[in-house]
Formats: sequence, C-alpha cells, structure tokens
Amino acid sequence: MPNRKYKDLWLGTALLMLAMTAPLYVNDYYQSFLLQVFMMIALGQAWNLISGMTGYVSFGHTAFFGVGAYAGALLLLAGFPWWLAVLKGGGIALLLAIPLGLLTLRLRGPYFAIAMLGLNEVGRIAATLWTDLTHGGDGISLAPDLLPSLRTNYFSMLTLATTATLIVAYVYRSRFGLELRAIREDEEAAEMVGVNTVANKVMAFVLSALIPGAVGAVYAMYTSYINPQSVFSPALNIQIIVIVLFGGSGTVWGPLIGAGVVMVLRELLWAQFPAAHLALLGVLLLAVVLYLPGGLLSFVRARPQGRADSQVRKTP
Amino acid sequence: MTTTACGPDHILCTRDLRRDFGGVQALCGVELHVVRGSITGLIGPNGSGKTTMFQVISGMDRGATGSVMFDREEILGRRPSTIYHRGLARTFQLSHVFPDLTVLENLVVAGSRKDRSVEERALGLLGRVHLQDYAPVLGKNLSYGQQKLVEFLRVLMSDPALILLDEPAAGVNPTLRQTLWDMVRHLNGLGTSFLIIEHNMEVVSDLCSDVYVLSEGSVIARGAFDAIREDEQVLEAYFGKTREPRAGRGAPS
Amino acid sequence: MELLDPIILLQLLIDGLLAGALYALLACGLNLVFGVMRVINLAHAELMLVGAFAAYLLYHYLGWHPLWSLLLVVPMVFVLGFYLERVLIECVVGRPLLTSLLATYGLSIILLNLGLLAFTSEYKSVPELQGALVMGEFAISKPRAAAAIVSVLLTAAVFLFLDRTRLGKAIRAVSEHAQVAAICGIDVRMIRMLTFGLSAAMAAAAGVMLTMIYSFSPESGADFIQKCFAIIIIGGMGNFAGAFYGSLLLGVVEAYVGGFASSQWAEAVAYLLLVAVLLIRPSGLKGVAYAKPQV
Repeated sequence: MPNRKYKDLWLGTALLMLAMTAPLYVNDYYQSFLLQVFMMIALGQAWNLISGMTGYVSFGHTAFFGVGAYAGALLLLAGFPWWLAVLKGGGIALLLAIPLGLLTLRLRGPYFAIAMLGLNEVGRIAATLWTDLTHGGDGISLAPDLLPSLRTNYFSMLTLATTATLIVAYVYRSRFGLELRAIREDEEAAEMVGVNTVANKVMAFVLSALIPGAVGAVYAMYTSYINPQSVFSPALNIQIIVIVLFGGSGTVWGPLIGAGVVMVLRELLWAQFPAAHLALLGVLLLAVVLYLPGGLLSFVRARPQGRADSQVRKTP
Repeated sequence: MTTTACGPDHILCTRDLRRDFGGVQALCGVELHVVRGSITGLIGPNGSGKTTMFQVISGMDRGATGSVMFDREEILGRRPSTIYHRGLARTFQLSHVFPDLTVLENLVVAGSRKDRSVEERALGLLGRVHLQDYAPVLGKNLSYGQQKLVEFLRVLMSDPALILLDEPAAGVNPTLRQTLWDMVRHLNGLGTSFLIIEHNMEVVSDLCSDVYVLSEGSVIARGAFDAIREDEQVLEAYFGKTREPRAGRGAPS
Repeated sequence: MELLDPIILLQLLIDGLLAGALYALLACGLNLVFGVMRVINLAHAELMLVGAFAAYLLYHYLGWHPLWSLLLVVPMVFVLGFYLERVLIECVVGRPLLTSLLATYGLSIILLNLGLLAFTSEYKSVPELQGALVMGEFAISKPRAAAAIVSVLLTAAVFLFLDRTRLGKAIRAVSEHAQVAAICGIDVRMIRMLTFGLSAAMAAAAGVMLTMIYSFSPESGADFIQKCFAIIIIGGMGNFAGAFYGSLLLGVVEAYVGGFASSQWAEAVAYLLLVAVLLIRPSGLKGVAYAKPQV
C-alpha cells in the first residue's frame, strides 16, 4: 500500500529531525531521558527482529547488552577510541550469537525460550566469576576523561535506534522478512515450501544481537560505571519485552510506541518506586498477552479485513 | 507382486522403507515406484501408513530407514526445504495455509528467491482458478475449500517435477474439487508426476494409471485400478472378510 | 588426594540427595501443570516464595515453627493457586505455549515486585532447626534432613494420589487426552484448577522448607526456576518419575561441584546442565518427546 509507506516515511523523518535537533533546545536532564528512550527503542527493535518476527521469544536477550557493555568498557580502558569500542561491542555480541543461535535454534519455540531464560543469568554469573577480566562484582569504573560527552552519547544512541528501526523496516518488507513471518505462522508448512527455517532463524537471531551489543557499549560510556547486576539486568529484560509486545510485536512502529509509553511511565514511577514500575509492567504484559495480542498498534490500525466474500466481487 | 528395479523411467523409488514408532511398525519395508509423468494412487484403510509414507518421503519425518530415490538421487534424511527445491512438493490433509499472510504472500514465499517475476507467477496461478481478486485477502479469511486450493497452488510455485497430494479434495465442495482435478490433469499433461492419497475410488479409477494399496505398513497390491478392485487381499484389508466370487459393480466407497 | 576420600564423596552425595529431595517437590509440581495443561508456569518459583514468606511472617510474628506453618500455608496457597488458575491460566490454556510463557512471566514479575514492595530485597531466613546429626563419620544437617523427609513424603503422597485415587486418575486422564476426558464426563476445567492449586501447594511447601535452609529474598525465584527447568529438561517434560530422578541428579551434581570447585560454580550448574542436555537431546534423557499442545 504505497500511501501508508509514504506516510510512514514522512512521519519517521519528521521524528528523526526532531530528535536530531533536540539537544539545541533541551537541557541535559531531558537529553538523558531521550537517550534512554532511544536505548529502549534500539533494544526493542532488535528483540522485535527475533521474537516479534519469528515468534521465537528470547527471554535472555539482555545478555548481549551486558556483553556489549563489558566489551565496550574494557576496550575503552585498553585505549581504543570510543566509537571503535562501540562497534566492537556490537561485533563481539554478534560473534557470540552465532554459535548460540546455531545451538539453540534447532529447538522448537518453547524449548528455545527456556534455554534463553537462563542466558542472562549465565552472563551475570560469568561476569561475576571471571574477575581477572571483569573485576567481578566490583564492576568497572570509567574515568571521565575517557568518556565521550553526553551529547555524543545522545547521538550515538539515536544512530543506533534509527539503524535498528531501519533494519526492521527493511527486513519487514523483504523476502527474508516474509520467510520469517511464515516461520512464525506455521514452521512446518514453511519448511515444506522451501523455507530453510533454521538458516533463517539463526540469521535473524544473530542480526538481533548486534544492536544490543553496541547499545550496551554506549550505555557503559553513558553511565561510566557498570557491574554484573546493572547490565545483566532482569529488569531491563521485562522492559524490552513489554515495550515490544505492548506497542505491537512484529511491526516497525510497535517498539517506537511502546518505548514512548513505557519510558513515560518510568519517568513517573521509577525514581520513587522501581518495584511498582516493574509490577505495573507485569500487569501491562498480562493485559497485552490476554486481551490485546497485537499490541496498541493493532488497536490503532485495525486491518480492514472481513470475510473474503464481503469485500471481493463474487467469482463465477 | 514382482519387484521392479528402479529405472530411468521412475521419478520416485522407495526401497525397504521402514519406520518404527517405539514398537509400532508404521512402515514395514515398503517398496514403491512412481513412473515419470504418471498419476499414481496410494490407497489403503486408515492407519495403513499412507501419511507416514508422505512424511518420510517429503523429509518431515527423518526417522525412517531404507532408501528414497527421487530422480535418481537419494533424499532420505534430507531437510524438507532441500527436497522441495529439488522438485518434490507435498500438500497436507488439513489446511496449512499461512493464516496471517495474504494469499499473494502465501504463494510468493513458496517461490524461488531468485525469481524476479515471482509475483506475476503467483497472480497467474491465481488467475487460472479465478482467485486473482483474493490476492490481498488474509489466509484465515478464506473458506476451507479456497484454502485448500491456495495450498495446492502454493506448491506449484516451484514448478515441481513430482507432487505428493494428501487427500486434496477432502472437505472441498464439488465445484472446487473439479477445478482441482482439472488442474491435476492439466499439469500431468505438461509432464508433472503425481502421487495421490485418496479415499474416493471414483477419482482413483478415473485419474490414476497405477495404484498401490497399503495395509498395516506393507504394500499388499499394486497395478491398475480394475485389477486391484478384485484383489482378495485388498478387499479383506478394507472389509475384513473374503468376498463371494461374483463380479461386483461400482467401487467400494 | 584428600578430596577423593570416600568419606567426603559420600558426605557430598548425602548433601546432594537431601537438596535434591527438596528440588523434587518443586519440580514435580511444575511438571504436573505442564502435563495437565500444557502450560509452562514461569511464576512457579514465586509461588514457592509466597510459601516461604508466609512461613517467615508466621515465625516472626507468631513464633511458629516452619513445620507447623506447613499446615496453614499449604492449604492457603492451594486455594490461591486454585483461583489463580480460574482467573488467569484458563485464559491461556489451549493457546500457543509461548502465550502461557509470556503470561506466567508477567505474573512472576508482578509477584516478585509486590514481594519487593512488601519485604524489600533483604535476605530473610528462619533459623529454627539448627545443627547437625552426627552419624559416624557423617554430619547430616538437621534442617536439610527435615526438609528432605517432608519433601519426599509429600512427593510420594502426590504420586500415590495420582496413581490410586479416582481424582488422581482423572487428572492423569486429562493430561493424556483432555478432549477424550471431557467426553467421558470429567470436568476438565475443575481438574485444571485443582491441579494448579496442587502444584502451587507443593511449591509453597517447598518454600516453607526452604526457609530453614537458605536465606532468601523476593529475587531468589530466578535461581530456583532455572533449577526446575534443568530438572524437567533432563527428566523429560511431563514425566513425573523423570522429574524426581532429575532433581536428585541435580542436587548431587551441585553438591560435587560445590565441594570441588566453589559454591559460585555450583550456582551455575543448573544453567550449564540445561544447556548441555538441550544440545545433546532436546527431548530430555528420559523423555516424553515434546508433543504439540492439543488444540
């Protein structure tokens, strides 16, 4: 539908323009807030790529974020320029995702979900135990003179959020995306009509690890201190899942809408009552899963489809 | 029954196909040949192993032993998607149309990735059965008969040399059913081979030049339909009794 | 080498079996829900913690010994589970497995954070039963022994219930083929509610026992649910005996790893075992091969 494509493009470009110029007229506090929104968008879109489009829900995706954060921090300490640390952070996450994906995506959906469940915890434990590399539970502190400015981090995050969204948008319209959706609908039937389900799933999985890795690295530079708990965070996990599901999983706009809503809620609640915020997210998740599986987007944009006969002239 | 060797005029040959499900022998050494360009029927009472055969041949079930040669190439144990790309396609008994994809998308996804004109191909196929207006309709919004038809068209997207049809007409209204059989005949005229599981004996006798009868995992008869019809073993398998020596009329239904 | 001293090996074995018995109570409950409803309850560990915190409260404010608390907490949580099923789980039965995973995940997040709101993330414990029984060369920790005995008794009771009683057989019928059971006049929905209640009660019992052995916080659920999954994957989903033996196995492996390496590595055992089994044999070592949920 060409109309919708152009509308989307206009809206997207307008938002991007807004975001790019925001630092000019918005103070540091709001820049920080927006940076975190972009972070959620980027993470959400990446998760969307595997869980939304193929239906293989990954419960442990924050592991890639954590790996990227540590990679970024350590590379920065080792003297690499920040942008290289970010790229390599993404790269390392991607390299880890390859064997991981090959191993776990042979499994059917629920088994995959269970395997992924522990991944975040494995990352956390590994970071805690491997003290030589990661300083264990003490975490890693980054001296201010190593760090890029808030504005630089802002634009890094914005770039990652835009890239992630563009990747999802491209995949969605591509043959690859069609095959992923077919896998989500009916994996057996997809295999039967020539879709190599394992290759496609692994591709999506690996692609979905790249962005969180890079985002993690930027996050490390933004907060200047990371430890196993803060980056291999179950709280982050639920936020990502709710963002995508609430907004509309498997779509391009869904994570954008979801990120907006969840971050606003977070602004209101997190500082005083982080537990209340997360409990509320749990309720949102339940509500979406039980009553609105397509998320807000399906509510806003109901597809005008009824019974086939009613909209198509009767064929002889 | 004479055992035929697998020759160049056979597009599909299975040899000593065995499938054991933890004690239940679904296939006990099945040997089957499909002559190139023929429409071969696979009949037998429920539970005789017909669908298991299809599962094994198409690669969905990789736990069988024996040999499956497609176009002189061993395909037993290969991925279904690989087998599909080699030219062997299969439909299911129950509709497996992708519910949240449009009819057009349902067809396009089954076509070749490298094909630049895959959408035209899809529309062309839809046109042949007068379903071109249904291209933007979601799979789940089609009637059951339409779904089965679309599923049939879907496997045609890759221009397969051999198509396995699993009760393609089950649950479909007579008009669409006729459309389906016409297409089968048409494609067969162009060279496509078929192996069809059917319960409707009229169709089998009409369409199939060669018929295999499966019972409890073994082939108990093979040949032209008229010969099979009178076969003692076949009747016993279906009806569980010996028939009186009288020329019967009409196929058992 | 000292570590290969048979006394130590045997001691670790005993410790492992005792821990495993407790895991068994927990894992069998989770397994039961899966078998009957094809639902994977990610909130199972949080239900366990409900039991644990209830016992803690009873101990702190009324001075109740955990073994007495069992009598109150277990029926209470049974009722909680019973109605939770009606209100929540019923809505996801029959839907794709991932729907139930997400829904119960949401529930676990809610329970976890309500727990944090109520109790903060401080670790609690119930230091009732202390010390160890010394039998020859071996020391058997009293709280662990008590927990293990109670767990084994309860697990055995549930097993006999499922095996011998009419209601138990009805439950098994539903887990084998819900549609046929319905046709035979079994109230399938009631069975599901009862099963979920039973599973929650088992979890809560494990939770009460837990308070005597470990210190816990609302966030302790993650480790236990991971253990449960490792156990169930090893034993095969839906397989009662498999879950029992898998639990013992996990307990023993953890004990040995803890003894020879470190307790931190022992924490990781569940995750590593899970990954190992998923790679080698996705349907579990004893498995009922995973079947598609019956639509």
